Amino acid sequence: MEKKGKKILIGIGKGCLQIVASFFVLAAAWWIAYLSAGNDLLVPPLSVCLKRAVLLIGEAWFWAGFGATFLRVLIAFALAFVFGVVFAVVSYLLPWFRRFFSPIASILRSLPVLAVLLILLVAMGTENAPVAVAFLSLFPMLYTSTLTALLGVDSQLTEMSKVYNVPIWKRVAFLYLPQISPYLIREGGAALSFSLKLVVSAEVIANTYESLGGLMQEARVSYEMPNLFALVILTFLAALLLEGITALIAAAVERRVK
Amino acid sequence: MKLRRWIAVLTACVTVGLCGAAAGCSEEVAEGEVTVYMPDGAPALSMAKLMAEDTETDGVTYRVVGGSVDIALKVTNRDKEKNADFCILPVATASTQVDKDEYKLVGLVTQGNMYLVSNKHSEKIENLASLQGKTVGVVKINNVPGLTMKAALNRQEVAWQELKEGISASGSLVNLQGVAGVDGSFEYYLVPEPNVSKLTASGKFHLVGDLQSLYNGDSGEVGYPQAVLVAKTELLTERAEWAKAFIDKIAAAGDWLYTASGEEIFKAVQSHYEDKGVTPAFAAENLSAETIARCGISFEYAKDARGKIDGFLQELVEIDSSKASLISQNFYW
Repeated sequence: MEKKGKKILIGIGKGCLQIVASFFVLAAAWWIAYLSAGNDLLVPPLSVCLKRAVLLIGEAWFWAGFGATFLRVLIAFALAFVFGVVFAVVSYLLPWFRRFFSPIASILRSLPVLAVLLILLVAMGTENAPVAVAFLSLFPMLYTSTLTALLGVDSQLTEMSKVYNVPIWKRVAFLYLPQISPYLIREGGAALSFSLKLVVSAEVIANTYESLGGLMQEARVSYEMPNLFALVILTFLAALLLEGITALIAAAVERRVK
Repeated sequence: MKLRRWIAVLTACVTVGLCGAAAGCSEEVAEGEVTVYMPDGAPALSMAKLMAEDTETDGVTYRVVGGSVDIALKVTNRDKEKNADFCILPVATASTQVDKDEYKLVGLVTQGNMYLVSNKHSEKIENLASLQGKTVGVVKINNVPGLTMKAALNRQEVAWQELKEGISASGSLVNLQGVAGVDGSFEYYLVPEPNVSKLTASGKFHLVGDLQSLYNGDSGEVGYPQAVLVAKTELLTERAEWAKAFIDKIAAAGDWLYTASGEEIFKAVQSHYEDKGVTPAFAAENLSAETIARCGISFEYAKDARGKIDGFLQELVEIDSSKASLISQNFYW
């Protein structure tokens, strides 16, 4: 028991060291970039950007922008998740629909979304276009992930549940969900973090008012490069946090399922 | 396992090194060459004659900076040797980003090239007050175009508002809306040349207003300080005669644009792009005498344009003090 506890502690310690090491490597890359660029308008010092990031956390306007962006991310993700799951379930149940939808999913996957953004800006405005762009990217991803997970469910178990006339709700609750949920949660976490990146990129191009992307654009136009990099760092940390939380949820669900 | 670990560490180091080095990648210029940098568009046109006559032995390297690269990067390197010897940049950028000891403002290069276009109206706009109740789409509303439009409206005492979330268009104000591009959904758009010519050539848009005249109202004057030329103080001091002669050449270069063909002008500029992959700001077929006249290329020496520049910067500072600042008289050459 003691040995097991020691092993767990060593494992956690190693994991933390590896994470700290990777941040050191990133800081080293920044330092090299800073020296190579030789221009604070291109790459400002990391220490200045980090200080600015800490200051931004205390600013109400930062949280207003962050909140608005995060809301767009959640809306885009929720829509993509719901539609992705629904379409995947239909594709799983109806092979003809799977064949019919396959080329549409491929087109959506290869759509140059930031180019499409310029068209969406006219139709939907600067607030909604980033949501649409993120949806168009996430929907085919989540559709494919969900369908792959469903097709990966043990076919022997599904056959057995049909033979024994197990009610549909029981099949969903005790067969499908336990098998696909850990995978879906992990994919969902990655999609959520990706959604953040997409929405912010679209907001930069659209110069959306009161948004992380809009703040970045404003910082760039005002030559406030430390602000710009600070906003990028905070966005990156938010994405990391999202991925971390969903990874923990996925691990918890996995343990429960086992 | 040990070998795999070493390969992973080596790959990480190489990746980090390459990423860092990529950030500092820039074209190497031969030693001793005087470097002249300018943004694409009207500023590049102002130097087209000199670029057409450029030879490899004249001791001058011209570079046109296009796309999303900021011209301010050419004058803000920590290693001063890498900074441009001469640089054309927006007057607002020059006021905030240029080191006033390292550089001197030697002249005004372009004096306004922004116009109002519309695909919904064809009547000419005689004064800015007639835009009240209308919405004007402005690309880069937080930058020079937007600032200049706001300055013009303030100067003519016409009330305006910028449309953002929660603010709807007013019937008694000029409504300014930031846009990513000209799509025809708003009544008017503020567009710089040479984009105006591209839009009107399509037949879908009409040129309805000249901001250069509207800015000055009934005074009869035309234009406002838009792009300025700065030069290294060291160069102006140590090679004073050469620098003076070079600046005089720049001052006289504008007339050539009306005698050269569109193809000649386009080639002169395009052959000097810093990044060969950038989409040019104009096409040879759009470079008519009319288009060139609308680019507002008109050189004025700093000592003559001082009052005009100071006044314009004051107007910009009143709109947004983070985008422009007042400059001391020492900055003028």
